[in-house]
Amino acid sequence: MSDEPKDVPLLSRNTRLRPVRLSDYESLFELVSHTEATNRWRFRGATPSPEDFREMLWRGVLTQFVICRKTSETPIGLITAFDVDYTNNVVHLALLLDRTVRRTGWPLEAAIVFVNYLFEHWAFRKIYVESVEYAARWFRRAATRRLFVEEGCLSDHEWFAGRYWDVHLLALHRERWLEESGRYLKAIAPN
Amino acid sequence: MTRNAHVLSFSEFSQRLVLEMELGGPPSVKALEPSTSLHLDLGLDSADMLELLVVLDEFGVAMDESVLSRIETMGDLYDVYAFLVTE
Repeated sequence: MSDEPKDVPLLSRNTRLRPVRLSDYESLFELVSHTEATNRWRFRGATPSPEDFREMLWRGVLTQFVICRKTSETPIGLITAFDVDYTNNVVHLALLLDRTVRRTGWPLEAAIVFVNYLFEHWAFRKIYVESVEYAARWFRRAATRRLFVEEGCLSDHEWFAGRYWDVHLLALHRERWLEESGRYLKAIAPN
Repeated sequence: MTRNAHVLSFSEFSQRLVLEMELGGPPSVKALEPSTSLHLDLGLDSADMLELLVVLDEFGVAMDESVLSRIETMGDLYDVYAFLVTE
């Protein structure tokens, strides 16, 4: 039947999302524990023990995947949907990328795939991303482009490196996604 | 990718890129040369590079990560574009 739902792909031209495996924890612990990532990611400077890390990695999580190159099993990142609010149909997104691939752009294909997965599997109205002033400049750049919009700013909210920094709350609305996702999904489609 | 596709000149290519990616308007066009670094001179970050993939797809070119990872300058980018669009 033509109205049968289609599978939601977890693959892009250059990346693949796969479930977290027990064997991934050491690699993910290394990724999260890197100084730069530690300050910017969900743990915000906390350094859990390897034992606590496993539990903390899943705290408040709705769904998360390891990001790999399409042809490799080695994690180059982790993408997470957490703090889901079913009353208001919103969820938060966090992205962690290995610093060696962060600048190249193609790993963000995984974020596009993941957002598509979230909007296809749940009736979310919005996906939120928190962006600290000193970090994740790309999220704010994205906000000024086609996908995210800035919906709030917590002034001088977060302490790091001797001062307080603003935290920006960015939102990707379902309507915006439906309007704009086609060009992104086409461009990153697996060949 | 299309055989016999029209290949933009470097100037046309860079101007369209500036326009599509909102890289700063006409003054930036004059500054774009083959040696212009995407990261150091234009300040492109990962979100920009993702947007670049989308724009290149609209030009009829799709790039794999092994190629993307080696592109540092506008000249590198144009050379890959010109090769792939006629492949």
